[in-house]
Amino acid sequence: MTRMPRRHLPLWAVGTAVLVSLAACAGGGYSQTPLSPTPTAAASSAPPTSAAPSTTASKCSPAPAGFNPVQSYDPVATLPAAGALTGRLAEIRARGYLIAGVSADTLLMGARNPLAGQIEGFDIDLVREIAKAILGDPTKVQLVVITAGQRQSFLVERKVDIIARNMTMNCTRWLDWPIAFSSEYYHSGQKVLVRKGSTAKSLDDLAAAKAKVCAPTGTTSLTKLQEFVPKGAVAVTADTHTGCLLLFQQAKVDAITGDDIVLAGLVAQDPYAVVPTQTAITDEPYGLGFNAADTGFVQYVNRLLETMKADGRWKASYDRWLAPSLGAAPAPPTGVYGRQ
Amino acid sequence: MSQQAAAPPPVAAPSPAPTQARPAVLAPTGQGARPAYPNAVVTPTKPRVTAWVKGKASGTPGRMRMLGAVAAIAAVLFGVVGAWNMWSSAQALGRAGATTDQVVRVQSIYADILRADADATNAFLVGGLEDSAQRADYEAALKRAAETIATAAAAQPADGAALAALNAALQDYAGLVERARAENRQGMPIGNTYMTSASAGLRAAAVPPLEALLQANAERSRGELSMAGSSWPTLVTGAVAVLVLALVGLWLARRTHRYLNIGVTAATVAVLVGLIAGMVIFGGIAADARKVSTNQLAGTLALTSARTAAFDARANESLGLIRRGQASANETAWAKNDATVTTNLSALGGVTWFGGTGSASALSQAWTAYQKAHVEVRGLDNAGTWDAAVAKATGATETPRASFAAFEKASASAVDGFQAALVKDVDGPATRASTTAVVLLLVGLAAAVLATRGIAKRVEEYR
Repeated sequence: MTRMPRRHLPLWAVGTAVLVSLAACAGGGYSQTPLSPTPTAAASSAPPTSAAPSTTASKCSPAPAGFNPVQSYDPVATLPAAGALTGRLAEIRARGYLIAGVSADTLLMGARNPLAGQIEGFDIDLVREIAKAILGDPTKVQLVVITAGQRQSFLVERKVDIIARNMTMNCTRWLDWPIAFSSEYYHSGQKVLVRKGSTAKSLDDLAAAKAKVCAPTGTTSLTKLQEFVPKGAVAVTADTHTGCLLLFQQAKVDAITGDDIVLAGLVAQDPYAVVPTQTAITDEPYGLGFNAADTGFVQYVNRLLETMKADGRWKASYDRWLAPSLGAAPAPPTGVYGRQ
Repeated sequence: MSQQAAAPPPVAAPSPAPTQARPAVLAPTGQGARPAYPNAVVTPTKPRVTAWVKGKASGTPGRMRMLGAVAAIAAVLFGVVGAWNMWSSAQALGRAGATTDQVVRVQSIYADILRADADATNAFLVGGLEDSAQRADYEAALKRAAETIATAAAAQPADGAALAALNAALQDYAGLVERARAENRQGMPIGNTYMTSASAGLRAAAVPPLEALLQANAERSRGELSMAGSSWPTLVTGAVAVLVLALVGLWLARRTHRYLNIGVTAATVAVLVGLIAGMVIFGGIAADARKVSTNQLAGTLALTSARTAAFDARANESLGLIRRGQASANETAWAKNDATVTTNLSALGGVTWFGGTGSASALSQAWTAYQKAHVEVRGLDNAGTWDAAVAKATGATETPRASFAAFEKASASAVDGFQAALVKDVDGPATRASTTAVVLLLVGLAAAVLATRGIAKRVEEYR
């Protein structure tokens, strides 16, 4: 009781030291936040990717004897009156509008004009003429913007009545997808687009230079491009041709391949892109796409196309959209008919 | 009973060792015979220190000194560990508030980014020159997001890497949007492609770090709140201290033939009272922390999740229209967002409301109003009247915009309310915990002093 013995002092010192050291580690930091959440019960919301066309037994390798991809069904003799429409046409009329699959970013053919907010172009004019014929009003159209890779499923699953989206008529699409085509309404061919100053003028040149070339998924352009991959070309895909132009502008690809008309639309958007003088390496006859069962609809549209080619409406549309880039309108492609 | 047991001294447990140890110590040093105090003879060399310690520890007074030291250490340990435990609890409560602040910050970044994207995509929807008010809203949202990223990075260093990734994603996005805008003003369709690519890139690059940030900080908040009530270190050291002090008291009673050593008994009682009081207070803190966790924190998290999903739903509404006739993917995303909002709002009904004016059901009603408006937009688009759908979705006075703004405003003020309540309601327990920390430390130290003094008195009897 008399005095605090000094021998206890070290004990206090130890106590204080313990307190300080414990305090120091109590405020410990957290481990670094990861860059993506650790997976929980919530399943990843991967959108269902559109099923790739099955590669089972094609009816087109080789194509049946005498198969002509531009041959369509005979046009009806005359366009029937609105009240006399049957089948698919009657359904469209009852619904009150036509559902058309189009492109919104293929300048000249089908592109959204940002200033007007409207989709317009050579393909769109055709769709509006069809709506006008069936429904009496060119604006009674629901334009469904689709990518090239979605053309098959949208027609087969009847998500659209018609597709007007620079689509090449070929055996695979006729017989394997299967869909039906109208008669040919535009004749195109595959070319290459390169950077200004480039010496390459063809896919062969690009393959020799081991260049990266872009083509949209699900197109005949990509199929053709893949033939040049063994020769050294690097195939890069995008959803659309405009997607390719985006990669081109970001220097992720050296060139783009596609139909001349599509490339003309890209050149119009980029002063550093050029389509050098070259011979088209493929023939790309464009037709309007339909569900394979809608032959009556196809025959109706074929009559309309014949009328438009004859009365100057085809040429008027060509002059408006394509002539500034491609020069004066040629004679419209001749319809080939007789498909059974 | 202690008298009988204490009678034969040799019975005490460590008896054989010290009796032999004494001569052994004496022999090598030759000066251990004198039970000197350390201040009398300062022995700097190691053998001398050892000799001193051994001298101190020998015989009955030596054993008493040792037991006194053990008792003091136990009491101090209780005081120190109890204080540290309480102090950490107070700190944890404070950190729970801070990490919840961070959750709210991240959520506001999330909302601002999606808001900016909704503005930017809407501008493309309307076509031509964008609405200047919308453009201003886009810029303000991006600016706020950038500022909040900086604040959040300063507030939580552990979030640095994720916030840096977010910042990079935001810069890429802003760059692509400007490019899209420039092309759009030239009338080039590629502008639209740049815009879609910006939106897709934003979702791919910014959403994962944002989700990670929300998840990590929510987990931190929950962890802190559950840690605040964790009292086992105090319980263990307190129980050990009481036991040690009681045994020392018992030993002393036997050895000295006295019932009670006042110092040791007082120390035992002090530690016991401190332990019981500490555990009661801990129980209160744990209960408070649980309440905060299941109400204020759960409410804040439910609201932030609902808000994020709501903004994403609204952006998907625009994107669905932009993709023109192909809204199904966005509509699926919208439905998923809608389910998230609804689930979280109904979860909110199960917690005490801290959101100020309004209620969980009022928020649900606000959301239902927007749901209805969205269904009308989809109806117009699905019926082939795209232009009418766009007008409905973007019109300043139309129901989708107005009802969404109402929901946005109400939920924002509710988040603020819950968040403020959380910070406020962890404050009380935190103060209690820090006060108790000081008290426990003092109790431990006082008990140590009492015990050593009580024993010192007995030791003196042997001089």
